[in-house]
Amino acid sequence: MRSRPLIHVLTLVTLLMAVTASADAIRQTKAPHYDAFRQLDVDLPTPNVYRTASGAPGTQYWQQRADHQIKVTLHEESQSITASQTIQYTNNSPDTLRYIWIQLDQNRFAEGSRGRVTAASSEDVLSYGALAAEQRHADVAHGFSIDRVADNRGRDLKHTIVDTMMRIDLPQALRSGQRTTFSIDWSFNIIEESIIGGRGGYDHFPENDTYIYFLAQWFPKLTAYTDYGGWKHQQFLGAGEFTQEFGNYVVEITVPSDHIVSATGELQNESAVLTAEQRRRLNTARSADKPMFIVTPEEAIENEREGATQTKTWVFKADNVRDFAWSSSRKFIWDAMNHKQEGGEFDNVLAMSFYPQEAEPIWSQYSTHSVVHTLEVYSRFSFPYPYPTAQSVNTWKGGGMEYPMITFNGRRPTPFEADEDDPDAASKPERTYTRSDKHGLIGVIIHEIGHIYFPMTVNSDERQWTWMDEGINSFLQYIAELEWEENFHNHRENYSILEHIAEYMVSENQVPIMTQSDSILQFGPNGYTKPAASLVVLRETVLGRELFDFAFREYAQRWRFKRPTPSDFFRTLEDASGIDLDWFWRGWYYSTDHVDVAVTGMREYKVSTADPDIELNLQKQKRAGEVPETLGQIRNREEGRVMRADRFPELNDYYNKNDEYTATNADRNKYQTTLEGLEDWERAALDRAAVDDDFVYFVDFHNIGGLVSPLPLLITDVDGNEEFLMIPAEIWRRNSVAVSKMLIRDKAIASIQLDPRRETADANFSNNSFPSRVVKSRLELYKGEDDTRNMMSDMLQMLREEKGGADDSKAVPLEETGN
Amino acid sequence: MSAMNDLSLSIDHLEGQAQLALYVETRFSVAAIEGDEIGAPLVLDLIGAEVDGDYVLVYQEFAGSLPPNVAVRNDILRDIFPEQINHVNIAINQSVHSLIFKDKDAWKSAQLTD
Ligand SMILES: [Zn+2]
Repeated sequence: MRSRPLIHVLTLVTLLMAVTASADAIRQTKAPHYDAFRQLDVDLPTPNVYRTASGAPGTQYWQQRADHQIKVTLHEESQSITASQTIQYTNNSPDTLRYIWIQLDQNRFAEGSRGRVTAASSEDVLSYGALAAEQRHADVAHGFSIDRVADNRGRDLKHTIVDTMMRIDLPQALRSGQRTTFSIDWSFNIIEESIIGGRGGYDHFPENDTYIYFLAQWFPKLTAYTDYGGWKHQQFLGAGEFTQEFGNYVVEITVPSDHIVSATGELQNESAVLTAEQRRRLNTARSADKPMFIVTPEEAIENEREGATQTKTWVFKADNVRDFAWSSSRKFIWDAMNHKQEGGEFDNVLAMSFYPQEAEPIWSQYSTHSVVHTLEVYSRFSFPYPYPTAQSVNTWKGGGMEYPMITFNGRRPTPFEADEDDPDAASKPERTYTRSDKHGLIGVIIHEIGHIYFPMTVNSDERQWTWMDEGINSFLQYIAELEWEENFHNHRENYSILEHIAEYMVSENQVPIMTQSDSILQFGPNGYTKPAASLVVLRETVLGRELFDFAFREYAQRWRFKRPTPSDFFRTLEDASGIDLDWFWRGWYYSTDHVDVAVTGMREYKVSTADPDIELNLQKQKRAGEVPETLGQIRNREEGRVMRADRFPELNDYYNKNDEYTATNADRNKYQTTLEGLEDWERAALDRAAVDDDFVYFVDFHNIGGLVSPLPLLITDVDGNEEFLMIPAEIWRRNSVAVSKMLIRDKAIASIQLDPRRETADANFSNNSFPSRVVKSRLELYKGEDDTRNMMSDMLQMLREEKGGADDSKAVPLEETGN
Repeated sequence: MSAMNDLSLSIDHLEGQAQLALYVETRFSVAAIEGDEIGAPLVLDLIGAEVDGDYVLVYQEFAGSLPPNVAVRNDILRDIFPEQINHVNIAINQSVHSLIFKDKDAWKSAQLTD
């Protein structure tokens, strides 16, 4: 999922983390040493026959299976749906089950649900949105009405509803390898998504009183039963998403006859629901290399004016999916094109988009292309797209949500008159859209279609670990965006995902990535951006593209249509890359350390020949080079002043002829003794060094942020030649706080810059150079842009005058009752 | 809807960014603490706002030196989204002090010394 554009407000900087290894059995109890490289073995679950120590599914890996047949009818007049469904449940676990848990996700919206009751409120402020939601809940009962639960012979089954879950007691225990079939009849009132807030519902267009229906978490489905957690009964509170079982679905959807339906899977009865012309166009689209209309914008506008009293039933079939969603409206424009691929279950994938005219013009231009672009990029990193269709549906104004083969995506351009002088408004005759409309739409579609790989196919447990789907997916989204066009994120030159995450990572009260979904404090940076940034660092800097891409693809392929846990990911990336990454997982995933390494010093040396006749002379030259002659002495000479010692030659002795840099016999004897004490190879090394005449440097690094990091260095010599040197993170293995690195160079080094390409997520670049350099803050950079700043200050002034200083707070006026 | 044709609603435009900056100005405050009292909010100079990828940066400045003990208040978006959690990092030299604003949180104190 991708939430509505939120405003990240971070006021930043750096902290020296007091590092504690709190729950470790092994603790350093005397000096404050922290072993950043201690292996994670003791912290990860013990490998077993289901999950191996190398991160692969074990020899006896199992998962349950749930096949669904659903008949559902949409009632437009009452904004509700009714359905009857049959579930066939296969127990592949080694365990015997006496009861089955069903998820009733719609109950999150029911009166008294745990999610609603436990929602905390801020201040004593009631927003108009919150008031409208409360009023709607009072007017309309939400949540499932479960009318009947019966076995396959029609006998009622005892069932108990516990908030968003339902337990069905089985008359006979279900043994390993057995299957059971049961049916549920149910109905519910569809929420108006913009009022209540959720991942599905309906969207109302008051301008012309039309609707888009988009149904998600809409049917009772099997709770996952897993080898690592048994029944996954973490109630649905809203944030933590889903833990699902795979199965085959046949869904018959009955809607008004003028609706177009988009759904998980493939349409089975084209001839019953599409016109001959629509079928002809659809067939053309199946081999088209660019989007073709099946329903044109003009036809959609015509459709939405009418209304139908008849119904049609659309039949969809989807194999091996972990969920099913659908959308229906008479407003839909529909386009499609073919995505060709090799080596997978499907050589041809039908990429489609469904959207109302309010979403134009960006949807017909960008949506289906974005779908195909995602399939191209993600398949390269994982496996060929495993389904026959991939769909993008415009169901709301902002945000996005993913399901197998179908995604619900936001972005409708706000129409406004094009300002001719504004280069940011892409001009169109009738409508304009902004740069962020375009990039926001492409970005959200990449993200949601990308989720069909992670977690719809690589079936991680979202309720438990947000980062396993959102983080991994945001990482691939970033890659796909960079491959859409250069400077994709070009609100500012050279935007990098690593820059802003550092501002989050320095904060004191963040939680580690390895935190359960519903307890995460800052969902966006924690579950999405930080893990995505970590994988960028891992790919581009720690492992390199070749090793990373092989290991990542191995993870995706091992766990395709299976259920990985975090340790399976950590272990596979080590196992397949051949690099110990425990320090990386420990720092990025199990701690709240951040990256801030400082270059604190650099000292220059030459290898000494130890020969006093050479060395003392060198010292003399060096001293002369470093310290100028005393000014008074120079001026005396210039004045032609004659020294006393010159006037009285008898005052001159040994010391007048030899200075402190003259070698004595004692010095020479000591040198001979030293040489005689050397082994032959040591003598050879010393002689070689005398010939090479290299410079020797010791560069000091201080790890301020705590997270150990590779050290990419840009070394510039006195002639301006640049050399790039990558020191792996293992340099910190004996001391994770301060290390020194020796460098031998034939030319003197003029400067050293740490992380010049900004690839480590370093939080503070003002301490990355020796000699130190001034790095401008964002505020200073902004203030330096005179034009921008002047225009902004004029605009602020103008708006202030318009408002007359009034606070246009959108809170409902409240008055104390005195009670 | 009246919102149509309104440039001020687009964060891509100067006016939208300025509107957001003004909104933040009314909902983010810093005040000196003297003894046990929270003083009047300091007058921060609103410099402007800019967009960077998924982020909006709003710049405010205070001329002069800050008092050693301050109280901070961050109500940004909490009037619209009751579950909004705001995170403020206060950086002094090499150290960071973080404050979290959620539920009924109002003023929170912070020490501006290392
Ligand atoms: Zn997502």
